[in-house]
Amino acid sequence: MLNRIFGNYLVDKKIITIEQLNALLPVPKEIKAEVETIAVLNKVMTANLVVDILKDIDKTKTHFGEVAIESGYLTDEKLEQILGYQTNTFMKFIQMLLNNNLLELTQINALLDDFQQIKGFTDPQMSALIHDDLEQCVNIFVAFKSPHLKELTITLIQTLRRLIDKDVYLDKAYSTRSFRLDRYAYQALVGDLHIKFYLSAPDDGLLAIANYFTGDTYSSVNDDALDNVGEFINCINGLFATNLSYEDVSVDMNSPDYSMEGAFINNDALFVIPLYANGYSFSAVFEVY
Amino acid sequence: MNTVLIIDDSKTSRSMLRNILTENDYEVIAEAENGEEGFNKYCELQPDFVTLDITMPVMDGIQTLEKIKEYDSGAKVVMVTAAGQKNKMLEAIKLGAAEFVTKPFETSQIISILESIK
Repeated sequence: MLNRIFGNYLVDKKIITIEQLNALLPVPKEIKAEVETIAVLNKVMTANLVVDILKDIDKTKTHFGEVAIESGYLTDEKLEQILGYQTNTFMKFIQMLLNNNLLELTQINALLDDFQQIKGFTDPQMSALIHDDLEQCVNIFVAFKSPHLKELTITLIQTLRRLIDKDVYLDKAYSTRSFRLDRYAYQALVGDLHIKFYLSAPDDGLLAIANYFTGDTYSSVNDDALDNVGEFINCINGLFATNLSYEDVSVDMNSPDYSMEGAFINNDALFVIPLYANGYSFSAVFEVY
Repeated sequence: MNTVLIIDDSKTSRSMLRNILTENDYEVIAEAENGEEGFNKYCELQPDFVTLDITMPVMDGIQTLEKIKEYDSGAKVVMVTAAGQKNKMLEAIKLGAAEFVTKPFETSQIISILESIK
């Protein structure tokens, strides 16, 4: 999640272009963050110190970590901890920025501090984002009191990540009493809970899902693309219903439906989550009825 | 080649199932987008297998299963469900559903289920 949010910040700052960002994401599995990068990101060593050490070693023959331990800058325990972060997605993303000469090691922490300040994230929130703690990340953006809506949101994000876009991210969710749906698909949950779950976007925004869910490709949003999105919602609701069944909450699902026409919905309990995936923006709307 | 009838109101689901089945040497002899149409096609074509979506408007998968089983108690019907439809699954078992596949579809799951009930 943080890769795209921080990447967008770098684009806004004109440090990289959107094309460069798109070329880097999603971060490939095989990439590993280097020890020196993690040491700087975790503020265990300063970037200047790392740069000085790197000047004096031949990395093909000597490991940075060994030199840092021999020089007393790192302990064995610290190195062990750092090695554990080599597969962290955000640290891998920073590594790719460095590998592609889009950032200097010495810029990283100042940029991260500025990013944190601009976004208003607290230290624990930054930590949750960096370590990709999904539940905590969702808590940053979604302040719903209902544990069920929060659980549905987590299931939504997990499923988007698994099937649609690993780097999906969200904005602050909000509640409202009326909402204008654009083109949308939805499904109603019935039983112990009554929730209508919509995915809606103007124009071709729902291609974010339709073009990635089943392997089918649509040039624009049409009935078939919305049917596709409806099936995606069905999968999410099914997983959500399974989780609820462990809490003895029984829900069933009506058949998904969709509309090209849009609609106004009015309800005292409408919850909207702005979402971004595959270059498109769209909204998830939960209507509790 | 074994024949399959797909009954599902979602074009997306039908398309996904059709692709998986045809790529794995099953012949999709017909598709239906609701239970009534599906039952009529079953009677007409007598397929080896049926994949039947549980959640459909008008005549849902449970009602359709009941009708198919009344007509042919030996029908091999694989119910298609979203995860979490436990009560409906239990109902379908009572009515004689052969197996279940859950969405999102995984090719290996679908094929191994069909192989197991051949």
